[in-house]
Amino acid sequence: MVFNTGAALLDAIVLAVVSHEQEGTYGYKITQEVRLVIEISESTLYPVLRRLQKDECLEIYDMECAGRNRRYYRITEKGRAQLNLYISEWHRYAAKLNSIFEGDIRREVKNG
Amino acid sequence: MDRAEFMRRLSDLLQEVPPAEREEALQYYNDYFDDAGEGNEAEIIASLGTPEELAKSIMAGLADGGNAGEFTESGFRGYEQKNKYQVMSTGQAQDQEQGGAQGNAGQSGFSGNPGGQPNSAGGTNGFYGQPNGAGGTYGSYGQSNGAGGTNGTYGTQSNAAQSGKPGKSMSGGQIALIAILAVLTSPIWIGILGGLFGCMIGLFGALLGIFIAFLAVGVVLLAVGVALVWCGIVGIFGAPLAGFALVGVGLILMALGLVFTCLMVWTVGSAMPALIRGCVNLCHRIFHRGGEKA
Repeated sequence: MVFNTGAALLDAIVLAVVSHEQEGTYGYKITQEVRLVIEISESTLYPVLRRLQKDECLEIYDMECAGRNRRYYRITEKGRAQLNLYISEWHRYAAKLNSIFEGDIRREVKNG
Repeated sequence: MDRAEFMRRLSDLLQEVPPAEREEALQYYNDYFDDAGEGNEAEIIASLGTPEELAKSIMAGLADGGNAGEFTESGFRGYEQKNKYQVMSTGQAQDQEQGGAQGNAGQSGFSGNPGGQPNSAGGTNGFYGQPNGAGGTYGSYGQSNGAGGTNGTYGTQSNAAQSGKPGKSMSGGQIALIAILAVLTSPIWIGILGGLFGCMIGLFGALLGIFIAFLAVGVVLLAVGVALVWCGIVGIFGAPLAGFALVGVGLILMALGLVFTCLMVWTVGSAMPALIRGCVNLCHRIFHRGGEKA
């Protein structure tokens, strides 16, 4: 991808992925889902998940699965509020960029 | 290197990390291998990088609460050059949001400040803004350059042309605030108005009472006087002295009754209308002002 994904945007993506699972989801699955949209390495998400957990945007719990304990991540109320903030800011940001880009296109058309 | 060796080396490399954090990280990557499945072990190991790199990213995340750098598609970046820039944690971002008015020289569209002047001597931050000595940040939405650049947030509006927008929304907010305040303080002002109304009713009642008392006294005195005069006239024929005395007392009582009646008439004629007029004026003024407010 040409554009880098900043910490805030990555937070937003992770929160969005986790929020889609009511019962919570686990590290491997989160990584695979995030990798569907942006190119991140497998080691990228652990510090992000840990930080979001420390910031009380995510909570963890362990659940028995196939004879072992698996750690699940679930979004908190605070995390949901943060995600909504990110989403609304994203829309503003995207709209501004679009207006700039489309404005440039129009100008080029005029000059051409 | 297989999974067991990878995890053992990672565990060794995380010796200096607090035990709880070490356990946390090791459990995460153990889970990760388990969930990826045995067949993908080599692939996962290859994509995780060396244990040293992985340990470095875990520790860097811990040392700065994960905020020293950022995560790009090429992995964690920024801990080697964290002097250059800082990415804010979400917690800090929230604080900034709340205290945004101070942080930004009044230009975050988010906090709705109408001001349009650029930030003062660089380094005030908006949301994801960051002070940036040397330029060249990646992936952060807003940044203020050391040179005194603007743009604390990506909601920034530094041109005056757009500054009217936040102002409008502010006044809308003020109206809403006033309405809320009016509702919240309604027990107070309803109480005050009720008290004033009660006072006026009481005053009116007192005046009415006085009026009725005067009327009653006057009527009774007149009646008693008339009765006594009648008794006296009748008694003059039997006992002239007592009869004349009765007629005299009766006349005095009749005079007193007339005085009271006159007082009553005066009350009704001038004092009462004046007072009522005063009350009406007062009411009119209060309700008129109230009407203007609403």
